[in-house]
Amino acid sequence: MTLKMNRRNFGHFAVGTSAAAFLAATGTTADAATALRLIWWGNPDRDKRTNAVVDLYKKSAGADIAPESYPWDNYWAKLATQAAGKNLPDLIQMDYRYIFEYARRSQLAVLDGFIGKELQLADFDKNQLDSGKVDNKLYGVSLGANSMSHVYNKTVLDGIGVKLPDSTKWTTAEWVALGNEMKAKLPAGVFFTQNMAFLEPRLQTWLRSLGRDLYTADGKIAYELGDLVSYFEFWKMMQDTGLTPPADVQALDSNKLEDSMIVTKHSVFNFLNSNQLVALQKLIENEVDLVMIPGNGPKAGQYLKPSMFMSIAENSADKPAAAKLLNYFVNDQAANDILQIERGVTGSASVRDHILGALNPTEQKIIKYLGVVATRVSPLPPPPPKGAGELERALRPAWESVAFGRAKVEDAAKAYYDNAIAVLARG
Amino acid sequence: MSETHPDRPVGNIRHEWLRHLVLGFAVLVMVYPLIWMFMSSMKPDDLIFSNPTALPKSLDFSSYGRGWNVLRVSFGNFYLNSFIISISAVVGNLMSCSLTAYAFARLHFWGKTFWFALMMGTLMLPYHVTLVPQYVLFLNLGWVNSFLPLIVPKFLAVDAFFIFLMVQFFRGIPREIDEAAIMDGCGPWRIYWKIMLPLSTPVLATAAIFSFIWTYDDFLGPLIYLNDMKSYTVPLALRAFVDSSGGDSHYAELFAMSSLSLIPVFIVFLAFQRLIIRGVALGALKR
Amino acid sequence: MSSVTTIKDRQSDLPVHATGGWRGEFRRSLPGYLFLLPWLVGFFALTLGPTLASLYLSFTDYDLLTPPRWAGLKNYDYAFVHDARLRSAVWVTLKYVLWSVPLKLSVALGLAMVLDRSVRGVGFYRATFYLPSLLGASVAVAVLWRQIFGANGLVNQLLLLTTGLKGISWVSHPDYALWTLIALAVWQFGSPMIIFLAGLRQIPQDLYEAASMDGASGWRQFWRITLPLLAPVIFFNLVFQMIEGFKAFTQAFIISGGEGGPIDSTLFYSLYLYIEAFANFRMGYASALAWLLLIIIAIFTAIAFASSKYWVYYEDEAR
Repeated sequence: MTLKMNRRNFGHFAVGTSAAAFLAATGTTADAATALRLIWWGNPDRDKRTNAVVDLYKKSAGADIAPESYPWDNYWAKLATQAAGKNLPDLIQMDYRYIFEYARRSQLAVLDGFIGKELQLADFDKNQLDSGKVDNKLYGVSLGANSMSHVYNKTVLDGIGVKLPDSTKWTTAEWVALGNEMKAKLPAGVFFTQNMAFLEPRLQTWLRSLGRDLYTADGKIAYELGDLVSYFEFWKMMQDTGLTPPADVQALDSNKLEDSMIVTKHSVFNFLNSNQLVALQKLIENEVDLVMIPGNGPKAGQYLKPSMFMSIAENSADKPAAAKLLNYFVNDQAANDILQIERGVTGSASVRDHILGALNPTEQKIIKYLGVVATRVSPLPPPPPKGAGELERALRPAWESVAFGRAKVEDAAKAYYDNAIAVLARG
Repeated sequence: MSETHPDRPVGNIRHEWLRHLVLGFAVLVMVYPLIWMFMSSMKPDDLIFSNPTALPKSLDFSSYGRGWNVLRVSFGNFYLNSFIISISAVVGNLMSCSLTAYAFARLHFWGKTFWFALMMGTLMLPYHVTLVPQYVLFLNLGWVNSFLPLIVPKFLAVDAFFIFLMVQFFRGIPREIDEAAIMDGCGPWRIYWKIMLPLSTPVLATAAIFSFIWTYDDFLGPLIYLNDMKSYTVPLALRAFVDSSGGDSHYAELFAMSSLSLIPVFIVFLAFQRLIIRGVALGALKR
Repeated sequence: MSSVTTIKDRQSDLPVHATGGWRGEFRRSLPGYLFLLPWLVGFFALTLGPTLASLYLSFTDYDLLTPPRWAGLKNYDYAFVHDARLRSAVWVTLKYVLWSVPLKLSVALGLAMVLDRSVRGVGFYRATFYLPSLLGASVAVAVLWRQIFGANGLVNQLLLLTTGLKGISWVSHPDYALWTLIALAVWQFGSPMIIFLAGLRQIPQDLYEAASMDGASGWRQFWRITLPLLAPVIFFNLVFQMIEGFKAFTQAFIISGGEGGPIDSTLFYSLYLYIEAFANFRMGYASALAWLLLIIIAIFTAIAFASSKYWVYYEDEAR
């Protein structure tokens, strides 16, 4: 296939294309100038639901909305870049880890002034509402609650004939005993549980069941080195006795559901945030269900946490209009018929009751689970300090050096602990 | 006088057989991952990861239809946007980079070494740090949320890679040809337009291919500068299929659309590679 | 940079008027600058500003959400003295460049030479070898690579079949993960291969014919004709692949899940930079890291250019 292109043709082609390109390029700027901008991270399912709600709102309120969505991996880079240019969208979906950074640096608008007016939050769950407060001012409205859990492969357990005890009360020792009992009966290559050592939320429930936590309210470390050492030692024992997959297999888990040990048929138990159950079930043929995390102390380790928030940008040109849209998201029944519990179980009691009937069996499992969890929770932890995100990620290489036999438990724990204190002090 | 550099003659039959074997094996290694992706596009999501090397149960192309429409905007839009941006980039790069390369390769002017070093320098800085200042710059120009930040720089020779590439190639063309033209009274523009460019078809075709493909594959630029989903390019749209925060991903559709997205670049490649292969008339002219 | 000084010295391209002094210089330089105009505009308007801004930012504390605060040499001090993670990132990146660049270029050159002949179906082969590069850095590549090099992946299945050995999970093992990334780089050798092909096409056929008639073997022809005449192209590919290797980011980002693991064994320099800038809100520090990388790359490039004096000859130089 020869391309007939001598220089003259190319010259004409070049001029024509350049002109067309310019026209196309400038075209898009015109329309979206005055619309309200909404940004969220998500997946195709959440996008479809959110866009449907946006369309509903456009019809009912006659307003113009410009929605944008990005994958989680790229969301924060895009948001930070826009923040640097003071060009944040009006409505921002926020995460628990980042809301404090953004709020304390005055990038988010205070919402207290809209409560009772554009924002009707009277029947909102108080705990969930408080979770969006930074320094006692409301910066984000929770879009749904979830809690940590252990998810397990029900089909496999039923096949072996194992029945789980009451998970609100069970201890780590009981859980490990169950694992040892099951070990011989599992198929080759399948282990009892994923290794959860590198998951900070798991460490958090461990500490909280002992009455401690990760961080204090004034941003210092709230546990002792000894706690971390015994935590790592526990998981090393689990790995060495064959209750978890070997280090290299476990390292395949890149925090994406599809790479998790339960999906890749390497484990029966896995750590999961409750609102991810639906997505997880789609990736596995066997049936999965949720139980609470075993405690290794007398106190309740878990808490109900906000899955994500909706906030308003401080640089928004029309905050009342943004607040109205926010209100629509959390309170409107027709909107929530579409959104359902994809982002978590909503804090508004009336909406919750309204959508209950339309949920599928997997979704109902989530609601049932949260009901169980609510009977044994401890209060919400204080807001994470600056650097908490970095420390959460740093737990993984620290654990992996133990898992791969590169470092002793005491050394790795001490290195992490000292680094944590330094990072928190660096501020 | 043959205008093209013909393919070199083949050796004996045993050599050819061996060559085919090596090539065949190489092809398999190259292409297996792509075959895997194509196969996976026909499997349901739960089987892709739990049974990665199993063949699909049936030739199920439904993920292609679903993938085309799974996002709010149909994939046809994304292809159109990608084409507009990529083709503009090709035109811009060919025009501006050949002008610049000609200056560096053939002309001399005061400060040339300095400018050349600066140009090479622009290749070396990681783009993540100029990202934010550049964003602010374009924001102040009012170009954010349009194609302008992605296209205009190409017309201003921002891709030093192509300048460097063309310089190397221009320097491979003997000066005697220029000198003959000067003898005939040609100025630098005519030498550029009537001699350099026609003799440089291989490198121009190469630059066209790379320009198209790299712009087509560029993810970071569109991520930062495009807000409206209607204006997304193909790679940006593809990322939306997977949610690593634990939500509902659509892998079969991702693989289906990724396989499809290879087709335009493949066609561009096939079309232009002939121009490279046709070769340079130089060998014949020289003696 | 000898190649460039030679450019400067050649005087025979344009008719030179007898005027001396700056006026003459202006006249002589004018065509050059006119051709250079698009690049100059682009450089001053679009590149210089952001580049200087990033240099400024490297001396500040900047979290993107609040305006930058001057911090003097603090970032550079931390980078050189305290940052162990940076040292490991430099080492990982260096290893990556030193292995992937020669391997990639050798494979590219080898296959370009094989494809330069009229083998049947040569167009098909050319296209298929280029296909992997078309995938670029898409999400699909990440999934692909884990499937091939993962615990139950293709490589391990082949290993089991042929030798009965049970392989480890290569892509998630700290000793081997980097090698899977090197393999990925080499797999995408299509671009340098195309450039080699274009360069090979510029070598006049009659040289080979004359050499064959003189009885030179294929190997001798390669050493005496192909390599020397291809030297400018080899040099180009070498410099460019090396620069890109140092800046490598996307493949490590998507395959390691954005963290450079396991145990930082795939923490490329640019990945570390990205994490510091956008995940840890330390854009000032990241800017300092970027400039340090620029210096590293510049040093290596300067060495390459200096060495080119000894093995790269250009058509347009006096013989």
